[in-house]
Amino acid sequence: MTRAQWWLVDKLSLALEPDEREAVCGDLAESEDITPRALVDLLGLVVRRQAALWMDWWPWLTLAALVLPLGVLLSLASERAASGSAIPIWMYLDNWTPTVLESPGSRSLLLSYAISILNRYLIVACWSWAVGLVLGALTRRTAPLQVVLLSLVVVFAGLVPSPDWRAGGFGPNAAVFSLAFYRVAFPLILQAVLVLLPVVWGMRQGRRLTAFPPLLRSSLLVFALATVVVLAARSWGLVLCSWGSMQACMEWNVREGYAVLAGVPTIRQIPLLPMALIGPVAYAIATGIWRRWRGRTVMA
Amino acid sequence: MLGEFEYLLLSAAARLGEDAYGAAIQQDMHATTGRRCSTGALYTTLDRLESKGLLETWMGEPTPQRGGRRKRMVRVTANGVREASSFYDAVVRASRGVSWETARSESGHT
Repeated sequence: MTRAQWWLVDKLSLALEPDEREAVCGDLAESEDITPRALVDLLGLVVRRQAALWMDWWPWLTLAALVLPLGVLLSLASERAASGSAIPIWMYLDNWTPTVLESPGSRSLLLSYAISILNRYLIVACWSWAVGLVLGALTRRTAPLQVVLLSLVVVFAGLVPSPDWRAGGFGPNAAVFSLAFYRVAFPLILQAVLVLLPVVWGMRQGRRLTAFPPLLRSSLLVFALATVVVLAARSWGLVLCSWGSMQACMEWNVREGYAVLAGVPTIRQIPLLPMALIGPVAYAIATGIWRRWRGRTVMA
Repeated sequence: MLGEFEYLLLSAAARLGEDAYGAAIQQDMHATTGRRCSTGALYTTLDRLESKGLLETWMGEPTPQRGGRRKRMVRVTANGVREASSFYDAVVRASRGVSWETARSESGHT
């Protein structure tokens, strides 16, 4: 049996309970012959187990309450990050000239663009990671399928462009968006790097949260949920402006703007980057505490 | 009343005795019936029979042959023996006087 076949068996069997995974993989190792038929058999078992889990109401609730809305929001956020960063990237990469680095003013402009783009990318990536962690912790055995569904929502929601784009109305930015790379490939690359990879990473860590003590696990989940909910609430305007009516988009913006002017607390006042970092930072701290505590217990 | 596949599985597990586990049951069923038993059908049926109290399973010891992985060992319970025996009796009773049963006994057993 090849390494590729074992890799496939290993990944497929992740959807099974640990004991069953061990027994099934052991049976396959003993037969010393992983044929395509055996792989289909294993897939059949995974499908049966997943189907049995989906007979419960909990996976459907998480699908409706988390996967679908957050998939749309993450898709819009990554789309916004792609369109927002495409112009400076086109300016500096497609039209690069060493003179950019000669004057202090242009160096400073380049730096401010780089910081702004990284800031935006970091927010989307941290948000996606927190979504993955919450999904992994709340759905555990159905998490892999939930993540596949989330990925589909992210990709397909991104394929529904706003009316301007559909009509090819790129306005003054036509030089950038008339290029297929910036219009099609670049948003897909960002979706993969800023959304799908962090979601999978977060999901794997979320599934391992069961190893943590209950208090640490609950605190971590609360932090990750706070990140997800606040960023989702902050991004609600994106949905209205991308898919809703222009009037609803304007009203939302005006209402939020007036609230800020009137000194009324509003979701817009919450700074995005620190909020996005709460989940990953809390996870890093919790992991550190847990490793240290476990190390002491083992020593004792 | 057991299903046909459940009966075949219980029979294989009873025949293998102490050595009954996933891969061995699959091989036994293939050897006796000539039909392949898929991993999905085997493990979901094991769960079903265990929940009915017709067999019990537990994780055995890891073996080097299996890459250090443990086996899911299987043992038929007293209820399982009763149900399998009752299924067998029903099949024998149902087959009496049927042409293929008569033909078999005349050609093969005389």
